Amino acid sequence: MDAGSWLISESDGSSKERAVGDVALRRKLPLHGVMMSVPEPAVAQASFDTLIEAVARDRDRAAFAELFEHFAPRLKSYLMRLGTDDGAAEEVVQEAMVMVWRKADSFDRRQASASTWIFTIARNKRIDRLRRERRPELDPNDPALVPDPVEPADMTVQSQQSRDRILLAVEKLPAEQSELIRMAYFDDKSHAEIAAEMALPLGTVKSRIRLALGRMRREVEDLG
Amino acid sequence: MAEIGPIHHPDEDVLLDYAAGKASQATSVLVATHLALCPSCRAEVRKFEALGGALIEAEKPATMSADALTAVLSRLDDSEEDEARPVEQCDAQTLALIPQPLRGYLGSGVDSLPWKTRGIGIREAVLDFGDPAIRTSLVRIAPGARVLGHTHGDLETTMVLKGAFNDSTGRYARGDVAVATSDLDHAPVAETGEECICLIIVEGGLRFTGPLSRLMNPFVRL
Repeated sequence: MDAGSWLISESDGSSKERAVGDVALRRKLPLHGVMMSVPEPAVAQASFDTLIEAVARDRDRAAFAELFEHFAPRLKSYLMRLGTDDGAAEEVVQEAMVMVWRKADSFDRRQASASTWIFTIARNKRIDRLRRERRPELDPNDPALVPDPVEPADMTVQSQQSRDRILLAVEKLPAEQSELIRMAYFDDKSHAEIAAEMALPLGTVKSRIRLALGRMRREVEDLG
Repeated sequence: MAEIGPIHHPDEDVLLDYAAGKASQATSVLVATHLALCPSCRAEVRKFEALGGALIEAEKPATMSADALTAVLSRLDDSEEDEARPVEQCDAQTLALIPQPLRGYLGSGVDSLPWKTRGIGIREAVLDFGDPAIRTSLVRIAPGARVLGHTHGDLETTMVLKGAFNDSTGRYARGDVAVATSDLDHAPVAETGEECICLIIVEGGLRFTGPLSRLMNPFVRL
């Protein structure tokens, strides 16, 4: 069983794969299966956290440019997989990156890694564009909010390693489960539509997702 | 699970849809309101978002237009458009009772909504979340009052904001989420002592099944 078939190694022939991806983008071909790459070392992730903090603290444009160079092309790829066309994806990415600049001081590496934080910003920007209503967000200062029973565990260590650990965990899933996890984030389809496409009962799709999430959760919690 | 907070939670796949940005606006508001009251589901959603972040990291980069970075850099100092949904001043009771994700839809407060009587001891105020296919409303059930038995075309999700109700599946209090599918015929009864206020989302319509059902079916499609 080739559980990680959608994780394509970037170490060999990355330029070739990238060229394939570019051609596919221009032709607006479906991109499933060719867009994943093995993560860079965890050190890089730690420095993305540092770059966001530099933007927050010093309004550091060079740091921002570095974040842009890394994340903008990946966010665009994510948005296009969800069915956003090239021009619109580019606009949403630009809006998201402007938000990264503006909201940098709300980034907290104990709560989320750089990539997680930037993912949530792009996710929200995409939704705001699709709907006349803004995506509802929690207000940490809301008087009606029930606070965490204890301060959330310091996620710093987890944030720095989580990307690698999580991807490894996805890779270790049976192919049928890792495919569903990927579809859950990157296909703009409901569970029912996914089930129809895969000719599976809805209950089977839900239970496979549940199984996959259960395994993922154990991996993430092991980090703590 | 944490010891504090609600005991009935949204399904895991609903939390995943919310984290992945695929839930409807109505469901997103319900989930976000639940999250404000439920530290354990907040932690779950953080994990799902971490998974999304990791998947983004692993994306094969797409090609940005050559001047994209320059364009963004030139926008960094633009004055911020008003980002937040304008929040009306609401009364103190609403401020304490209704978490922000939902409060923003309630104008100057719960009592100011256009409440309509839907039976003995039951009032409903329809909310507009911008999707005509999904009916979203607040329902106030007087202490001890019973909602007529009904089944669902598709899916009814209820979250308690105040008080508590019981039905054949259990007891639901502040923050608890009850999900009723098409095969469940249920008749929630508010507990005595305090009115029960719920946020209810109905996808696919619902049908009342009791003897008064013909009178009550307008409850759904108005």
